[in-house]
Amino acid sequence: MIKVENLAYRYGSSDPPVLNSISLAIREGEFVAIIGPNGCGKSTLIRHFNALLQPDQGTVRVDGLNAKDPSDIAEIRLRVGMVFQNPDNQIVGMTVEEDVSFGPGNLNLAPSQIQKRVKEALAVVGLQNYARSPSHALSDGQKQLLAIAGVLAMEPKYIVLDEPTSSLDLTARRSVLQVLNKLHRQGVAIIHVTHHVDEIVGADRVIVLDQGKVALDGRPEQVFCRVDWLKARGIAVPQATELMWRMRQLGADVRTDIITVDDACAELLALINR
Amino acid sequence: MSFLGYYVSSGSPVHGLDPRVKLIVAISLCMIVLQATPIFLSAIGIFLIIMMLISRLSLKSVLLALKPALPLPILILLLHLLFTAGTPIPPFPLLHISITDQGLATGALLAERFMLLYLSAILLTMVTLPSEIIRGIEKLLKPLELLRIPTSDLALMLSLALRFIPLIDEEVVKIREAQSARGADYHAGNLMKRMRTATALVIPLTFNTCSRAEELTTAMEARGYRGGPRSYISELTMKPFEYLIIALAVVAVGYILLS
Repeated sequence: MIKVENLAYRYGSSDPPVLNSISLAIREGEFVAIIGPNGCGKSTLIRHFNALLQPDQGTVRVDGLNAKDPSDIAEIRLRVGMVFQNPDNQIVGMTVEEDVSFGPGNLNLAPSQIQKRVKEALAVVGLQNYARSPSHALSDGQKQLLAIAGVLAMEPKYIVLDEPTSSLDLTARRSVLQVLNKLHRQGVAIIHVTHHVDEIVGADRVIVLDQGKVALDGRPEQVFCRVDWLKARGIAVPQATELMWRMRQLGADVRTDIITVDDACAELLALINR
Repeated sequence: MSFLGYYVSSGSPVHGLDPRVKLIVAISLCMIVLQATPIFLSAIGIFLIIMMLISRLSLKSVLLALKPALPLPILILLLHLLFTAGTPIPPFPLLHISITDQGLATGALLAERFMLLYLSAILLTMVTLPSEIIRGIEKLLKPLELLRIPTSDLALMLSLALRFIPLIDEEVVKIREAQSARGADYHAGNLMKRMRTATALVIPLTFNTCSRAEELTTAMEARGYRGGPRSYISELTMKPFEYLIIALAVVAVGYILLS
């Protein structure tokens, strides 16, 4: 479990706080989406999850390990993998295979073990046929999959992704999301920061940050039915939810805690049959 | 990689050699070339051509890799032809230009040396992956760790530098396009003006590269990098005949240097 208690953080001592008494817990195997307007502190928050940043106040614990304790940091980074927005800036190796082996190499594993991990990680993201390809020649989507494979080779329990799909086209976005869902089914906890509503719908839980605080936290349908509140902060809601919300404003008696097109269809049919 | 000769994967026995062997042979060749007499130089030329054939590299690909280096030996030859004193070769002196036999001899020797040095280097990079070369260098420098020189960190720095070349290449194109779209002309005006336009390229490039490097270090830290020795996906191991090749190379260098 990643347990955050009363976390506060500011970048410079004279800067305004980016995070303000945040408390939350992320369980093992959970799929959590973190959303919020630009500058709300999403990236700052998740950088605390694997001790890239240390809290000014409060504590961050990963499976009981304290992110403030220098002797725990290596173990925390082993458990919590991190994927960043720009794949080009996180690929270290010249070939795909070499890049995936960077993490296990840092653990000083034996070559045979590294080979096994690299093979498995590449198979999960579907890049097994590119093992020897130069990493810079991959497409943007493949590069991001490679970045995920590089994290997988560390065999983390939690994977934190900071807007991994923001520069990708639709097909590439889907393949990244498929991989995330697959990992989630295998029991890895996914913590996904994103701006794309369609990537949140499948999550177990959505956390909305606003001005450095947890503003909403719950199942996607519980969060998205707060349409007015979200819209006021420039956060998009699923089209199905928005349709229900507008119909309700027009006086139709429909539920607004609907996020998928299928549920929206069912609700509309029920309305017609009523 | 956009330096020297591109790696050509042909699966030849030379490709399969330990990078340390290839590095030592290439370095030995360079040392011999710098010392050898013209007859020896021809022998080395023939040796390199045989290596090219064993490595299953096409003559075309090697010539293509040689091409960018050609102006320098040609210039060396020309300067020596024109400015070396000695016995003019008939029909010279012609129109105050004289070409001497000494000029031809030294010019040709220097040009040949340069070409052989360059050829040794591109053959090395055409049959060895950049990452293998770096692993080889790291292993060869290993003894320096006794002097507390962090060889594995140096090797990582070298490989990151290579890894960033294509990225910086792309970045230059992007910035240039963005500047051109806003009316910058890299070919207009006198030298001063052109240098000023180039500044507009260099500053954003430096800035972007720094921020890239910062993100990269964060990502490396997140993947457990802490400096110091790391392990690799495969271990370099040398077979007995590879030791023999190294021994031969060392003996050849010794013979040339001492004779």
